Amino acid sequence: MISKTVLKQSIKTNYKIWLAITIVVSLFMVMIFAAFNLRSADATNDNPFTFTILSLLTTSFYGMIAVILPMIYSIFVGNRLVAKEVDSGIMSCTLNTPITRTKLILTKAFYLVCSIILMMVVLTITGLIMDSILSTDLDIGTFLMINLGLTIYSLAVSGIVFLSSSIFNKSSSAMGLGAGLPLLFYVLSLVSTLDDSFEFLKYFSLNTLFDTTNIVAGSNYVLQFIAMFSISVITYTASVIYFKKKDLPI
Amino acid sequence: MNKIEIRDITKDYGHNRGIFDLTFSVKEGEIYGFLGPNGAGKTTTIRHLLGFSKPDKGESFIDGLNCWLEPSSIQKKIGYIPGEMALPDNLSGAKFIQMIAELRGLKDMTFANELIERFDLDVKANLKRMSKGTKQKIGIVVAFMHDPDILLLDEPSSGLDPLMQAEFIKLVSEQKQRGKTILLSSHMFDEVEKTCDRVSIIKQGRIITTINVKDIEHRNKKTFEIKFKNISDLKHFKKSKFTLLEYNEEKSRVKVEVLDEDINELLSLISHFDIVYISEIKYTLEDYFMNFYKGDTNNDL
Repeated sequence: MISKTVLKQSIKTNYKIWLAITIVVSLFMVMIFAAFNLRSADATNDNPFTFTILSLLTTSFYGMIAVILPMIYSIFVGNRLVAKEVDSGIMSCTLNTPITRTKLILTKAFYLVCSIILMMVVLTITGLIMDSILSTDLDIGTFLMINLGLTIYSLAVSGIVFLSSSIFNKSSSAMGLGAGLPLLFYVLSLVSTLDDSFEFLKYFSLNTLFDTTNIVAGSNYVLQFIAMFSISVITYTASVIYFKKKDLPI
Repeated sequence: MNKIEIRDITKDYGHNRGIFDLTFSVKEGEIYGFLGPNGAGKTTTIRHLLGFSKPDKGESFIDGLNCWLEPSSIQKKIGYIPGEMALPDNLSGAKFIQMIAELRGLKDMTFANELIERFDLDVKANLKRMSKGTKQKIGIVVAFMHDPDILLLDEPSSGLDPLMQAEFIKLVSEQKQRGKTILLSSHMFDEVEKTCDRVSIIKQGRIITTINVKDIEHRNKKTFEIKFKNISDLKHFKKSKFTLLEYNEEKSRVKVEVLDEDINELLSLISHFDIVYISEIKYTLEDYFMNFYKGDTNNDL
C-alpha cells in the first residue's frame, strides 16, 4: 500500500519545514513553562499569581501558536505533496513507473498524517519534560487530552488541505481553498469571541470543535473529537478516491 | 499485431483544442511518426496512452490493455520521454535515475550506465542546475534503461545539440532493429523522416493524412535543376514535354519534374544543349507536407 521510495522522497523534500515548525512550536511551549515558573516565583501575597500552568497554556499557547503553526505546515506540505507536483509536472516522473495512483496518493497521505502526529508527539514530550524539570504541577491527564485534541484538529486541517491539493491541478487554486478555508475557520473563531452578537459564527468554524476550556473543565468533548476525526477520515478518503479517477494534465 | 491502438478517441478541451475522433494503430516493430504544429494534440494523445487522461469517447490500448483502466500494467511495458522534462529539483541526476529504477524494480543498471556514457551525461550535478539538453538526456536514460518493448517519445530530441540528436536517432534505429515499437511525436521533419516507417500529420486534433515514408523515398517522379549556358537553349527546352516547376530566365535555369520512365528522354534531349550543371532536388517529407498545406490559408506550421 505504501511505496518506500516515494515516502523517502517525501521526507527528503519536507523534513526541513517539519523540523523548523516542530522546533518553533516546542520552543514556544518551553517559553510558556519558563514564564510560568518565573511569574509564580515572583508572586507575593499582595500580588498573587492565580494561573495554573494549564490555564496559562490554554490561553497563551493552544489558542494561537499551537493551532497556527501546524496549520501552516499542513498548508505548505499538503500543497507541495500533490497539487504542486501536478502543476509543475514532476508527478509525471513517478507515475511513469508501474506504481499505481492509489499507492502514490496513499503514501503521500501517510507521510502527511505521520509527520503531523510525530510533531504532536514531540510537542507533548517537550511539555512532559518541562513539567518534570520545573515541577509545575501539570495535570498530565488533561494535558494529554488537550494534545490529543490538537492532534485530531491538525489532522482535520491537513485533510482539508490535502483534499484541495488532490482536487486542483493548479497549485494556486489548491492553495486558495486549502489555505483559505482553515484560515477562515480560525478568523471566524476569533471574531465569534469578540461580541455576543458574533457568537453564532462559531458554528461555521472547525476551531470551535477544539475547545480547550471544555477539556479543562472536563465537560463532554468526546463528540467534538469524533467530529474532527470524522472530518479527517472523510477528507483523506475523498482525496484518494478523487485523485485515482481524475484527469492529470502531466 | 497492434502494439499501440487508439480507437476513435475524443477529448474536447473547448475552443477547438483537444483531439477529435482520433484513430490509429502502430504495429509491432514499427516506428510511427506523429507530426504536427504545437498545440495540435500530440501530447494529449500520448497522455491518453499513459493513462493520465480519461477520454470523453473512445478507448486506447497498449499491448491489448486498456490505457485508462490498467495504467500500472502498461507502465511496465513502456518507456516515455515527456515533451517537457519536469524533474524534482532536490536530487542529483544519479539519485533521480536511482529513484526511478527503484520505482520500476529495476536492479540491473548496465544499460542505464551504457546510456549515461553514450550521451556523455554528467549525473553528479543537481537536476535544478542542469541545462535543458542535459535534462533531456536524463529523460532518455530513464525512458530506455529498463529496455521496454514500447517507446512513447514526445519531441525526444528537443534541446539536444546536433551531435547528440544524431546519436539519439542512432539509438532509435537500433531499438527498431531489436523489434521495438515506437511512437515518435515531433515537429522536426528530419528526425521523423530518418526514423519513421509511417507518419501521420495531425492538426487541430485531427489526423489529416498518413504517409508511408518509403513512398516518399521511392516516388516515381524526380525533380532536377538544370542550368543552361545559353538563354536560347533554355527557351528551346521550355517547349519540350516536361513539366517545369520553375523557369528562371535571369539565371537561365529550370526546375523540371520527370517521371522515372522519361528519364532517358530527358537525358538525350539535354545532351544537345550546353549545360552548366544538372542536379537532383531530393523530395523530402517537408516538401510533401508543404504541398499538402498549399492553398491552406490557415497554415500555422
